Amino acid sequence: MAKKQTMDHAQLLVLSLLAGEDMYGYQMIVELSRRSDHTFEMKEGTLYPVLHGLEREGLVEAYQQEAPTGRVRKYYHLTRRGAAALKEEAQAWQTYSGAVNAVLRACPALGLA
Amino acid sequence: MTRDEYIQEVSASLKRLTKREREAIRQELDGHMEDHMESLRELGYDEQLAEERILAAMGDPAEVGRELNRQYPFRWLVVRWLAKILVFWVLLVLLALLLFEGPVSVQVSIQERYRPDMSHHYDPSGRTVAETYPEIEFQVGDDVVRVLRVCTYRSIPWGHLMAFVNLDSYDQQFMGTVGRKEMILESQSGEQGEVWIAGPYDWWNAGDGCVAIGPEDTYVTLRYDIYGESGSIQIPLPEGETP
Repeated sequence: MAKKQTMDHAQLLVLSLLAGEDMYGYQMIVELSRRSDHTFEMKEGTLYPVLHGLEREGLVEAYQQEAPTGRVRKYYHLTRRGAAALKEEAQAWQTYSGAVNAVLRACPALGLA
Repeated sequence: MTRDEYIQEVSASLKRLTKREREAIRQELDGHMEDHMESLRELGYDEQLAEERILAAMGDPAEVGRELNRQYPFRWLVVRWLAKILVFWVLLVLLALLLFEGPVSVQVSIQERYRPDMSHHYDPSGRTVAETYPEIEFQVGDDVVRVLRVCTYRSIPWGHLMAFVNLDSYDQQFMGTVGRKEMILESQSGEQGEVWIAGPYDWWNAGDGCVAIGPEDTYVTLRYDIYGESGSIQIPLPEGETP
């Protein structure tokens, strides 16, 4: 059995979003919705507990940056530890989902094979 | 519900957070909703409807607050909380000491020095025969003792002739306080009475005393032995009888 999944999905998704570029909260919501083809439409407020939890664990760090409109936004940046955690957790997720898929495919009633 | 109310409801759950952290969350959530608002404005939403949609999308504020709170450990907040209470009480006690003890004594000492208030002093317990306000003062230690008033009076009920003195005291050092003093008031024939002047935190640094005198006496003597200094002061009695 592969390493146990220690991170919940929301955390994993947020880390993967930040792998490409630094983002602010609303941007992440929009991006998550777009990339998942509107499958992941989390309650927007619940994004922040996830972000603050990751920040506390040192997987992301936050900084303020002024937008062209003059408003200051809080951006989140993936740290090196966060990148390592993302890699590890993504792998665990792949293994896990692969295993689930393999089991489902073997189910004749579903006709997925 | 408005955006402010939403944020307030989230904040209500943030018990483990410092003020600064709470303010940061407030700004972040407000910024988020403003971002959302901008994108809805671009789509041509009317403000009211946009706000409703945004708040619906944010989710239950109580849950968001609870989850946010969980991301912050107890850490030093409890210690800080206790320290705050401790500091508060220490300050309160110090303040109480300062306000109600020292300065009152200092103030009384200063006040008595410049404007002795006879309403703080007792009258003799009898029918006053004569009285004067002599300007007698002497120094004991750092303090100055003043004789404010001298009376002769007939005591009630026996009608004995008595002398009565009112004294007070102040510290020569401007911010000083006055110590308690015990003295003896002696008549020419050697009768003695006690006199004491109230000390710090007491009754206006005032004092008085009486002694039986003879009809021919012209003075009484105040004897003291305080702070290792002893001495005596002759206080002339007022002359004549006032009706």
